[in-house]
Amino acid sequence: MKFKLYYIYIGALLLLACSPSYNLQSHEDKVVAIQSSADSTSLAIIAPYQKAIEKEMSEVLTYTKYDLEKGRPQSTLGNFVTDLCLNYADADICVMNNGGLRTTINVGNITRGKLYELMPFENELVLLELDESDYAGLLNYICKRGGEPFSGINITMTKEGDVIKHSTPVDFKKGEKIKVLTSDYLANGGDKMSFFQGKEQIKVGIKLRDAIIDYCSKTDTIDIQLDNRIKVISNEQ
Amino acid sequence: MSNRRYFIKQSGLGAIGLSLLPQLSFGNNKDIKLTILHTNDMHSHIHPFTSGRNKGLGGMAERAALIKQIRKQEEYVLLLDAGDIFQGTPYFNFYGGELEFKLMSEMKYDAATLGNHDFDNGLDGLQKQLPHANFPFLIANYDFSNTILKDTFKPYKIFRKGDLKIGVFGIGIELEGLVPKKLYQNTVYQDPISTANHYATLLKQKEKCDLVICLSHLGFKYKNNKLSDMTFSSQTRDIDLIIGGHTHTFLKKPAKQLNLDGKEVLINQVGWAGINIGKIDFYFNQNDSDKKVFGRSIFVKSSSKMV
Repeated sequence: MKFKLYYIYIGALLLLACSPSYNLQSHEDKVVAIQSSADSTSLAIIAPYQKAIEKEMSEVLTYTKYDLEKGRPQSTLGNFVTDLCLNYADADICVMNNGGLRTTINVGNITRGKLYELMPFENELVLLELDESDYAGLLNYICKRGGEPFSGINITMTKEGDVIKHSTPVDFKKGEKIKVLTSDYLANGGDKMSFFQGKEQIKVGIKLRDAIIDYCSKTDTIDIQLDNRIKVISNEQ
Repeated sequence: MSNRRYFIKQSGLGAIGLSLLPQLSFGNNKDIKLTILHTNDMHSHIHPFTSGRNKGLGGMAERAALIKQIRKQEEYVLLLDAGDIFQGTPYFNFYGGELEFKLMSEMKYDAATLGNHDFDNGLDGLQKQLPHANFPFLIANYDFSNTILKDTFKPYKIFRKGDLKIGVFGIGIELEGLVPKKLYQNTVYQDPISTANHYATLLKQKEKCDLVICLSHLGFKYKNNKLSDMTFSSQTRDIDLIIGGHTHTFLKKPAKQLNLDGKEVLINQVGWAGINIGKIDFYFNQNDSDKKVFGRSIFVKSSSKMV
């Protein structure tokens, strides 16, 4: 009798322990900034990895006079990257994307590690040739997005993102095409740059990050400021 | 036998005592507190920032210390990540995510979902690092059947914390146009809304989870009509909390949206680079109607046998 009772008792306990359902009553939330002291076990895990790359990554390659920042319609960071890339290929213009520039750089020394943060991807530089209509598509894309990093041309656009006027470094009427330098990521359809679709890509033979690192190693001071490559005007003008 | 007798006497419960059992064990609206800790878009940021506006913030060893401290204070903790663990510092370029996974394992992450950058070294690059992660990646709307990652990931997992059942599933962003095809190969992106509705309803209605969490890498909100956590949440049901990522959005408070059934969904995202960790404490009490049902059925059944 009591033996049986025992099983019922355990059964009841199990049922109750496994099956109650709960109602969500309330919640409290907060965002906790990470500024505590470090956990020693984790530091010990990090140590050998850090040691192996620290020297190379902390090497100072150049110096920047100004903060290199992201922004639209143009940015010091975007101008810096697209301008320097034109040194590495025979191209008319260079176009990149804001989303692909992954960190900002403060005034002062620039280390190799910082350039890895700026361009962590293994993207390669490629050249494509665009005809007049695809070039119009590219200009339209840049303006509709409020500006993306570019070098080699001038654009005037409305606040609403319409192209008003632009320079054209080639003569389309003579059948010339415009040579555009970009990353293979964008050339392959990244960020929906459809005007690059189906075009033959000529590999430059250097990764974007390596181009940036090479340029910085050979340049004493980076002196990049905003210029007049893109102008935004109100519709009335 | 004597032990068993002792047990029954010791518990002070005989045939009559059994009827009191539900009240004794679970009565008085006993609260349970569940602490959700979450991160997103850590992007290989192992160390705290050394310059700029985030100077001194972040760091994985620093995060680990904070999590250990919280675990000492809270009984039931779930630690979750909404993707983009990979890519952003030389640690990823040199080690492919190995260190990130090892540190997350040390912190005892319960689950993560996949972000677009977790594909940055291709499917094989991700596969190679998985042995360093002792936590599961949950992803419901990527079909890896025709890839080397077939049968590697589960859509959801149910966690038990005390008496609570928590269902967690993962939803990824559309890969086309965001990740080069050669990296994601034949991974098939499936509709987030119908997939989420399937799994959330399974977890809430069939599995009777007390809380359903969606780890989402869709992004918080867009100017155009691209699907985001804000629009996704209003087209789904049975989700209580969306832990988001992708847009690196710093929310001071979780956003609230009404779902298909008019019920409130919390949406949270805590920036990027491990600068912050989100902490949401949920308070539950036992469902009164369920308690009565269980109490009665057990009492009737057992008393009839005893007589």
